[in-house]
Amino acid sequence: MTKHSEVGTVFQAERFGDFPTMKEALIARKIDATFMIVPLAMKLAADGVPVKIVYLGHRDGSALTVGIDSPFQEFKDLAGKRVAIPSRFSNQHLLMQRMLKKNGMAKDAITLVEMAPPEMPGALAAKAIDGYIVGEPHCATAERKGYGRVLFYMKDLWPDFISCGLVVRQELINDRPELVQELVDGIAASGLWLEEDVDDGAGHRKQAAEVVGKLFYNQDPALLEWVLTRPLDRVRYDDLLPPREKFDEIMDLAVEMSVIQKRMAFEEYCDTQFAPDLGAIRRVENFPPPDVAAKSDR
Amino acid sequence: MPELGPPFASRCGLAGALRSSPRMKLKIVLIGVAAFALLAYAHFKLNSGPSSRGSLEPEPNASASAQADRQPDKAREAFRVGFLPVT
Repeated sequence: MTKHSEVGTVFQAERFGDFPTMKEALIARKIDATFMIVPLAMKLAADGVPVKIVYLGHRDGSALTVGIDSPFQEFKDLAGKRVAIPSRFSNQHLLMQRMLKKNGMAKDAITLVEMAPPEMPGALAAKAIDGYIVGEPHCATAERKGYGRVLFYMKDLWPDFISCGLVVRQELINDRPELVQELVDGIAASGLWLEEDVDDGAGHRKQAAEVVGKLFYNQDPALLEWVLTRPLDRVRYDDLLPPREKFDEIMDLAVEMSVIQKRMAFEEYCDTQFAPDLGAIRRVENFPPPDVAAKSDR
Repeated sequence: MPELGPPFASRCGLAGALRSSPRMKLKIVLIGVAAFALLAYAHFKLNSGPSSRGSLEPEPNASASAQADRQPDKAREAFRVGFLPVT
């Protein structure tokens, strides 16, 4: 729900260019909630910032991209190379460490460099890095421009991969739980709508790409449509309840890598009380609203 | 109050007042104190508006994002949700 919605609270979307700035805004309460990479949210909670993960935004939707003419075919081929990650507090970083261990490689066998996601495609094109692992649409950007190719989709390396979750200030959970519930219901309803016709032309995903690209992401709608449809399970919007088992696995990895110093119980950083009954929530209808359609047609 | 010599008194232009009776001198002092108090009060009022509350309170800012330490206004309709344009 945004100012364009016909019903509900107005949720003002605030776009950030990097996670450190977003983190500071959440700490300073310049924003009340945000979609944030899960290990960073765990780290904030571990550091005493009163936040909780209440829902997910999507599943999968990340990939490891390399130069189109590069010789890399397997993970081991990246030994001695430079690969960009969005943050040391990202699941993409945890995945790289997981893969290094799984392939019997040393922890520093690949040079991992932190980089803001929007800068990664350009860095690959300039050959400043040999690859990058990040959420979409930054992987598709290199593909569509012809200088990159996907080496691995995260869904193939870590099934049901989790990247970002909805993180909410505890004050809002305590003082305005109805707002949090409204937001979560909206996310769940949007996810159902996006998945609804995925086997029947995926028209909803194409519509979403048009509106989101023009009004929120400031990205080419054709790029977003590529991400949402090639392949259709590149990003998924179902199964958004924070999974205890997966989160425990992420926590274990984060502690093992010293990303988080002390292991936390699931309830210390996650609050699943808002997970809705998917059969009972109000479904998305008449998307986009007329005024949004008019704006996105410009 | 010691008598001031003619040169000082003449420079100040208060010759007559300074040479006046003790009662008049007292009146002059009281008027001076009252004037000083009035000036101090005016200074305080002029400089005690919202922009000078000191470093403990945030500066009011037209930007919707400058609400570092305020409790959420329960009456407001909108609240801000951050995102990075990335999955």
